[in-house]
Amino acid sequence: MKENIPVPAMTCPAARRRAQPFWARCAGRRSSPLSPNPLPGWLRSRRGGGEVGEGRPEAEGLQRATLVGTSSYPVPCEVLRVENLTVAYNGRMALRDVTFTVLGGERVAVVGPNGAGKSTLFKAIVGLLPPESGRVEVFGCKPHQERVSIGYVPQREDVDLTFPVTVGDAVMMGRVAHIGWLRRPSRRDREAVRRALEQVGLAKLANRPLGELSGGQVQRAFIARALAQEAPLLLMDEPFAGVDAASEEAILGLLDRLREQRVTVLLATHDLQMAAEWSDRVLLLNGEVIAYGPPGDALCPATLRRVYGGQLTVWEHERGAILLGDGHCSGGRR
Amino acid sequence: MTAWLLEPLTYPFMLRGLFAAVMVGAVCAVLGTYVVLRGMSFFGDALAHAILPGVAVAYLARWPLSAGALAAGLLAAAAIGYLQTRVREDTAIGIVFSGAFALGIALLSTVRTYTVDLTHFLFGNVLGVSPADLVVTAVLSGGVLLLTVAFHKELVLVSFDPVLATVLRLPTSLLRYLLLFLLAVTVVASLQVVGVALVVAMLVTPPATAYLLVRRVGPMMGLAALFGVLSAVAGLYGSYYLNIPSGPAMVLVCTGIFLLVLLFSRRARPPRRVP
Repeated sequence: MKENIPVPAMTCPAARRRAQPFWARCAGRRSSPLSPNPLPGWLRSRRGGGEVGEGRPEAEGLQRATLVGTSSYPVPCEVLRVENLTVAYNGRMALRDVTFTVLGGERVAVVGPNGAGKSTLFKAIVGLLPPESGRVEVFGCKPHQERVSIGYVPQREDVDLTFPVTVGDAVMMGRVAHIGWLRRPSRRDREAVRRALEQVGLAKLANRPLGELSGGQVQRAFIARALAQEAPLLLMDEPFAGVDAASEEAILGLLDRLREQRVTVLLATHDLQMAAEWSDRVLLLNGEVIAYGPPGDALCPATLRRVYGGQLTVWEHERGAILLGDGHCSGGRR
Repeated sequence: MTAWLLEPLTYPFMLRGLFAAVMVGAVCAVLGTYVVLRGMSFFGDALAHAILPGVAVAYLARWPLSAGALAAGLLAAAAIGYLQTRVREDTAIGIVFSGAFALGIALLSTVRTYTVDLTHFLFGNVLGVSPADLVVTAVLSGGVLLLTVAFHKELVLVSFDPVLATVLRLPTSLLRYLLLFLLAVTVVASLQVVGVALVVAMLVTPPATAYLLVRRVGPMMGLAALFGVLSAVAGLYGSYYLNIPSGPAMVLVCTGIFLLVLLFSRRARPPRRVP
């Protein structure tokens, strides 16, 4: 893998970092006076060196953190950092120079038309696609170097549903790294699987063969599998595509519970309305980052016209909200 | 009936053959479960045939045949692994498989008694298993079973969902090579019992039969091993009483069980869902 981009003074020895829990690493780095602000200008202005504006997600996070006290999430730390990421996919430049940062507990909607590079971005973050240049850091570590846990729910496509596994077996596969080599699942692993299945409402179907489930239930089983990893960062690629109403309801409820648990969620979607209502920040993507910020800022008529061109009708609502008629995409939620 | 069952076992060569057949039936079925689930049956067949030049060289140089077979099997697996990066997988398998098999036959044809020897390689000669062969088969089968059990959950995961395996940072290509290696060793272990031409049946048919009946990988392996051992033993008796070669007899029993189960298993597989 090429590393063309000079790295700011963020990297500290991996061994030292490994000895600490990830929040301690983040907290330490954040409070360090030596740590430079490596963010690009348009983001830096927004976040400021520690001063935070009201109503911003990070301010909310800070308030919550002081309320909770010294829980496992003391400060909203940087969970994901993507810097100048360029990824080629099938010989085509799918992502160009993508840079953004996600804080702990945030909900980020990744929005863009078909072929905008949403799936490619997720695959690069979890390490399935090598970047041409640029870097991805999760909790300050490169995903390749350390066993950092990222929950990833891919688009339902290439999983063989005739494979003889039960729903419980499939979810247990998310625990393989926890269980470790040459070991069998412990009570803790079985407990994690049971809890994950309960969270998606499939506890009763644990012993069913995966192939007997409906499309939406399969999707929920794969979400449960990612939950069983107990990862503090969850990437979901179009979880609502081709999903029945009951499953959609279950997934939406689950996303709210994940927010209470301060799990950071990145969700790729076609659905602009869902993105606007649901997320703390929106990443508008079309081969490159068009806009990144709170939904009200990122999804403005100008940026949307840049992405969707004439195929989109934009109305201004009296309170400033935007209603969108989206003629370009299929498979959206509404 | 008891006399009918015990009579062949009064011959030491039949007893040795029985032990070898039981071991091979079990280990082929266990590893074959991965072969069936991953859709690698063509690969298994190719590996079996590609072993022939190794056996021939070892035979001509008077080395232990299993050593030559093992070396050729691993070489073929590596060659297919490399060629896959240049041409399509099934094309790579086809090229290596036929090329190596031709080389093996050409080498063997330099030996005077080659038709007899070739028949043994192709169809096995379970009744010619020597005590030393039995030890080799036992060590190889035991090793394969041990490694399969040790890495079971990782092998299942990488077969079912390589994407998740990558996300969890498992060494996916290493696991893939482990599986190919285990497959090569299994084929070598079963060479003397069923021969290269029919080993794929012992790999594929018992797990396929079990697949029709159960819906989990563990039980599928167990049931496959049961079918494998049953066919091996029944085939051996068949070969003794009907005076037919033992390899084909075992494979015929295997196929018979599969057809019976196919007829009587009610459960239809769910159709592949289109996302």
